[in-house]
Amino acid sequence: MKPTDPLDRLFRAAARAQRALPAEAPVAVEQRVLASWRRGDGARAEWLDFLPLFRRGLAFACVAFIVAVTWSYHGLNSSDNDVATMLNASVAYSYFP
Amino acid sequence: MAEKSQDGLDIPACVARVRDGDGEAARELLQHLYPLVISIVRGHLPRRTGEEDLAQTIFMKVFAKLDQFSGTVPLEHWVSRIAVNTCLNALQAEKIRPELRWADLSEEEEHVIQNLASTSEEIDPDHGFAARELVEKLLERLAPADRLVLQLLHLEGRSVEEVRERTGWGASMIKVRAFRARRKLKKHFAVLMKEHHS
Repeated sequence: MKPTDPLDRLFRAAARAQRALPAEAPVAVEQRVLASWRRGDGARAEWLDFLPLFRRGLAFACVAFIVAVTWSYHGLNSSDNDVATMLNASVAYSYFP
Repeated sequence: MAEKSQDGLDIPACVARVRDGDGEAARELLQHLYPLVISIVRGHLPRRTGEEDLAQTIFMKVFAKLDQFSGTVPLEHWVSRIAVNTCLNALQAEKIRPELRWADLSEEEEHVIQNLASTSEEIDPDHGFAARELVEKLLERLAPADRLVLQLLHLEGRSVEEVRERTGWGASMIKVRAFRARRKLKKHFAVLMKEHHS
């Protein structure tokens, strides 16, 4: 017995309604593809596959740069810590020379 | 033994001729592969993209990479993977996937929903194309990979093994992805059914 889940019934009805596939490629497509192949455009277009990867890499580098700048800025402005460190050192030196 | 296609094309010989720059062989190969490529494109076409434009992009990649084809798998599987990846990239570029609302449906699609909600019988074949359009609209709401796996399994009736050959994904990954994608699709479908009832 076939499942009566509405989604299954919808899929079955949709699967039965297939559009006929063209037997051959339209002339325009054929000519453009062959012209591009003769010119060797494909090899040039291939590097475009890596474009999303480059974009992500660039975004990651920007984020890393901003984090590094923020971190060093905080480091420069945290003079309170330096004072405390100096005091600790002088106290430690005076008690344990 | 030479690998011959149904249309009598000696594929290894044809590929070798294309590599040597034979234009006639390139034309024969393109014509041989076109129905396969267009069937994949139709199943995974982003909105506002012409199927012929996407098919053309795929063929440009196929011819550009033909030197990398080792012949260890059938040419059709190799081309399918290029086509599937190109379609997924095109779908990923389409970032906005708005919710499907009742108002977005055509009269025939509304009828299909009403039929599904009111009876447990199969949808009338006369409404097959409306059902297909409705499924395509629902699939557009899913992530490209989810859409692809449901398209191949449920609309094209392919086995997990065939999906594996086309996509290069593992069998368990296909099953898990199909299960999750179906669950997401059910949610979208439930929203429509709820809107129909209210």
